[in-house]
Amino acid sequence: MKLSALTQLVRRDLTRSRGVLASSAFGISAGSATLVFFLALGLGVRSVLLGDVFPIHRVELEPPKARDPGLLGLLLGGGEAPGIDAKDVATITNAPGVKQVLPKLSIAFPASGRGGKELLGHDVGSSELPGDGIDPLLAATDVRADVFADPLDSPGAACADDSACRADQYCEKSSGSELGVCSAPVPAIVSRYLVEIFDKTIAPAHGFPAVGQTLVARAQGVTFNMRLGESLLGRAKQGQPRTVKAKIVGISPSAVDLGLTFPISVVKRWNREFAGDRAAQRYSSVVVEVQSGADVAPVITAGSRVGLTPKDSRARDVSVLISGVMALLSLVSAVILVVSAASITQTFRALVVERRAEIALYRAVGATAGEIAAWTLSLAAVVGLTAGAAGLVVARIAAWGADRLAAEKLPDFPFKPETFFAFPWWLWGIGLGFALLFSVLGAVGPARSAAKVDPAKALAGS
Amino acid sequence: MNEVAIHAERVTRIHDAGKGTRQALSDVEFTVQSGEFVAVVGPSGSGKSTLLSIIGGLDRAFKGKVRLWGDDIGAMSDTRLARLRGERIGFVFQHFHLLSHLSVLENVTTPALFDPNANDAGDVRRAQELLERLGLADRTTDTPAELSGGQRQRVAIARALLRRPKLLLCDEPTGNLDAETGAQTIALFEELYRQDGLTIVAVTHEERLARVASRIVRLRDGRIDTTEKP
Repeated sequence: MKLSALTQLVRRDLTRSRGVLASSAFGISAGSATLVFFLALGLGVRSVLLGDVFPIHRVELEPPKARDPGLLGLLLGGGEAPGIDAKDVATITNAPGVKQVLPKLSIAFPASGRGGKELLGHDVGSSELPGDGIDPLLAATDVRADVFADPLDSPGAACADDSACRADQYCEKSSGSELGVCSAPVPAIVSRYLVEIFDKTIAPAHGFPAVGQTLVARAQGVTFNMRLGESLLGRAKQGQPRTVKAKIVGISPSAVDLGLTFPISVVKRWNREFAGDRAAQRYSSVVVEVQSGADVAPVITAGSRVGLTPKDSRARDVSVLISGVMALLSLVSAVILVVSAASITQTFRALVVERRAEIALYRAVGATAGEIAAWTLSLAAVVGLTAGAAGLVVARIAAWGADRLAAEKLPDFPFKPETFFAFPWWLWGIGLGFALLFSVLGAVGPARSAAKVDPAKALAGS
Repeated sequence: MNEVAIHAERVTRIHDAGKGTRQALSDVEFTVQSGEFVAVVGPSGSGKSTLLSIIGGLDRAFKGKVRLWGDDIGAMSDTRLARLRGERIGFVFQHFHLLSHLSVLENVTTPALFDPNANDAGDVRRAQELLERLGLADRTTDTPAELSGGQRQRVAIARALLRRPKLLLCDEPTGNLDAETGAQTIALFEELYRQDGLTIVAVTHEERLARVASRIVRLRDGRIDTTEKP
């Protein structure tokens, strides 16, 4: 049988039996809609949680937390903070599935800051300014590499103080030196978490404007003074406290949650100046980028061999939780599809019984048993695809409605997304594919019955 | 010398009728030459329609051997037998078996749906020619419900002739027609036999139809009782 003939047969069936076919397709449509809706919801929520809140393509390993120094430790001034040396970094780098290892280095001396007039209307200060240094590669997707870089990579003219430098520079002069070099402000990045906390808590309390997503654009000009080696809580054990200029250049999930993050070479230099060589050489943690999510476990095992543990296991927990919920909801959709397939079976069985004489006539005029089966299955396929397409439209509209409802009814909260749904192209394929599969599976039995219709008996009846 | 169109050897068919069985045909020997018009007559239950179904390849649960133009249909695959039916055999039934949701023209072109070498335009042209010959040229867009019994049977005959069959198998073709329409249909079969040289096997109770045949085969209790010239 030619494809055009098969198309003609199916088209005629759709015209004459549209009512009964539409009612049997309803279940397939509902199953497809719920499947796509729930999967899109799971993917969307996973994307927000794992993309913005707990990135999973990276795992951060850190040494065990510092132990309680006890009374003696307090009297003697405490011990050295645990750290990761270059040998440990090499061990992690050689673990299977590792793409790259990017160390982080915490600021190991007291610091404070003051600034923000350009953005907030007047300067605000922080009596204690925590922070760290990261490899600029970690923030490469969020901040341009030439913006988030050590300013001393391109040092300016020699200087004795800030007056010898341009207005947008300061004189970078380490402790005890008579001369320094003119330097652009040190670039800093902040976390989206910090911005959310500022907007939702600090700004309303102090009457500041929310900075939100406009921070990056407006903050290009926001510089502030940072006091190194001295804060409200005390002074560094070595070096002379001094002031440097810094500038916020962007928002990145790689930035420390509370504090400022600088290029690691800057923090190394500062740590060496105010806390000694070891503080400049022992990293506070390493961010390991893996080839895929499956490589996380071997990396964690390799880290444990050198005494390192994952800083945050919430990403994995969230991932497992979302996968579990998605599997459960998909199971509900699968049950709907199975029930729908049973409905298709009933409808097509009734159609075959009703059309025994017609099938027998087709056999008499030259149809093979296989062509009769193909006709039945093709009709089921078209019903399944149409129902699946309708289900996809319903799912998309329902998702749009849910997003609208969430936008209007849910209060603002950190990381509240514009949409809770993700519709990658393959999800449409899954929706259509399952609708097609269950519809055709439901019609297999009736198709076999149709192929087995005894033409002599069927034609003998009136 | 004419080619043998149908040759049945010791054909036996036993129907499974629930608790018991019923022998519809017993060791039937039956031969039809190409170009013959054979009327198969006999009382109800004598096995006439069963014989027709077996010859047409619609009923394969028989014992014995049936050859169509020398080919053993019992040894053929379902596909090959279906293609043979489509290409060489036309069926005409007592109840017409027209498809009520289709127009006259669509009913006539139905066999083309299962022709792997179908030519849509050619098939429609052929169907229109047949309908014109059978006096239905102005009814092509009507549905079967809009036709009289005689017109419906003529549509069924046009459908049977669409693919230029060599053999026409008719099961009580005048059984549902009044006397006048039946006479017209009989005249049409005679024309197809005499002018077109079509081989026809017609199962009938109608003596008028039997009289225009070239040979009458009488069946009784599943056996051939007599063979005679009208």
